[in-house]
Amino acid sequence: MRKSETIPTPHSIAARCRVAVLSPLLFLIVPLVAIPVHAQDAPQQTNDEKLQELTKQVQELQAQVRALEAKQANAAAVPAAAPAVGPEPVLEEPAYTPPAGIKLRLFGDVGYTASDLRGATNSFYLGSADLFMTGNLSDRVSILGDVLFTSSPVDNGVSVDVERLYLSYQHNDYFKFTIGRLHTSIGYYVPTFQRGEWFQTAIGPPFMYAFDDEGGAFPLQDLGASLGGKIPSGKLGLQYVAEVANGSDHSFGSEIVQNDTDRNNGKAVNFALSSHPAAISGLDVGFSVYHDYLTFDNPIDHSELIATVHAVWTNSKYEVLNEAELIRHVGTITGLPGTFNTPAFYTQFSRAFGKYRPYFRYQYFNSGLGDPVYNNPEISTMLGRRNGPSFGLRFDFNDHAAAKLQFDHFSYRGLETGNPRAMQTNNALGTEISFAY
Amino acid sequence: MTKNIRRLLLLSSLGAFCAAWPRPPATSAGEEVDVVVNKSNTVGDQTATSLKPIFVCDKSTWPNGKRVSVLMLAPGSPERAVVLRDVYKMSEGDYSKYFLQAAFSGRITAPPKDLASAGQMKQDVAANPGAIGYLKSSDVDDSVKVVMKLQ
Repeated sequence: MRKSETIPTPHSIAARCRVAVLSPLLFLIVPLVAIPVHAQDAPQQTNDEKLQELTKQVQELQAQVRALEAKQANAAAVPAAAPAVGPEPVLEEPAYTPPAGIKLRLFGDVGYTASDLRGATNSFYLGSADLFMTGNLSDRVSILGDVLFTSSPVDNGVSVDVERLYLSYQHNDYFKFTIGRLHTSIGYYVPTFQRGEWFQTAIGPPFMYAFDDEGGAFPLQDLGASLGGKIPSGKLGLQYVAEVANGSDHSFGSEIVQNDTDRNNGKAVNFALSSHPAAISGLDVGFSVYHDYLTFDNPIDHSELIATVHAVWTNSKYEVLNEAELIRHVGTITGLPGTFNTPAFYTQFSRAFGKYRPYFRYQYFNSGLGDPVYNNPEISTMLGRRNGPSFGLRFDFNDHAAAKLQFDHFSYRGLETGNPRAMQTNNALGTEISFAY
Repeated sequence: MTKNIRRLLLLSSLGAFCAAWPRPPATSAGEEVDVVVNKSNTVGDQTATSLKPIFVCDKSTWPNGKRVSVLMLAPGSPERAVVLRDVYKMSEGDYSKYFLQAAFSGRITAPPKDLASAGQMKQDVAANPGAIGYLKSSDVDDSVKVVMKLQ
């Protein structure tokens, strides 16, 4: 075995390391030691000469410092000279950064209802589950999506509905443009509460605002565009909404809202004006006028005019809602001349006592038996007259969930197809849990 | 004459009683709260009445055209309680419901942004030309502009 091939012991390794480290150090130390030796070999200078040399150096340094100070003082005293050197950087305002992402909320309700109406059964029901999304694309452009899952009375299943989907551009308080699928700004109730049961004090909307896709009286959602905003009016606090949309389709088996193609060239138009006077906080009074040509399977278009008025006063304690409407359809179902008026109204009052809010609502709806829209069971469930009071109590568990208990006593006329003038009286008890998160 | 003096005394006593009636302190430390905006904002002194439409997001732009951005301190802060009481005139529950409904009806896209601290509030108001918020008087410095003092 050769020596170089011997297995190194720890001691030999340490020894090699010491040599490796110390060798370069020796190369460094030797010249350092040698330098003073060479210096000692140089001719000796007298102390006076050294002192003179140092004094001279100090004087030179002092002169340099004085020159620099003078230069700095001149620069501060003449700021106007700075732009001559180059353009001063402009301080730009930071650009607005909209909140990132989409804000998602969930609204929903479930309930139980018992009724003595002929043919009705006591049932638990799934009201709706509402996925509600909003987002800002910029400081003036926003989007809103509202996807609704509702139970279907036809097959007991769950149906999905894009309730709202729109894009808005708000230039200022006086001009907001929106395009997409909207809730029409007819009256007060629907634009305010939409389909959110949690926002409504009572269980369900009044008869006159029953949703059109559930057989309601008139279009509450539509595809089109709207303009809205404030009107410079001082203490009157006027606001306007002007809408143009596809309108409703009443042909057999079709969706009420014309999502893809308008079946006629006439567009539905709506104009709403309301006042929020500064003198009475919470007061909202206004009106809306809507017009459309309804499309049926037969090529007869029926003119529809809907006029509403409202006077509402709300604050954290009191809620007083009053609305009335008149719906006018022109032409019979066979196209003969005729005008059919449908009046409706409701009044609702509630007062909060802590977490409890008892409420009362009286409502009335009366459509003519020959009305071309309401006389068609494929289209509407609103034929005839219905009216009566509701009493209820709402209890808010917290800021996001509430329970309601409501008793209805309604009179109906026109429910029986064989005897449309027959009256029926109905008592119903309903309870509902609703939430918003 | 005696009747008038008696009436005057009665009114004075009533006034003194009302003045002496203990008011809840502005903050837990009894300190004032200042409503502040960005320094570049040209808006002048405000009142609770003129501030309410701004804080409830009913007014979306400043007179100079900048977009209003309302900033709130997180629930539980004494400054927030003062602003809810004196400007919004709402409870925390009413505030929550109001903005949920405003979003649901499409009037706004998001409620005011909640910030965790006064430092962040000051920083955001100083950085955003359209921002409005509030701070304890002792937290206010030259980086923001005071438009109203809440007692």
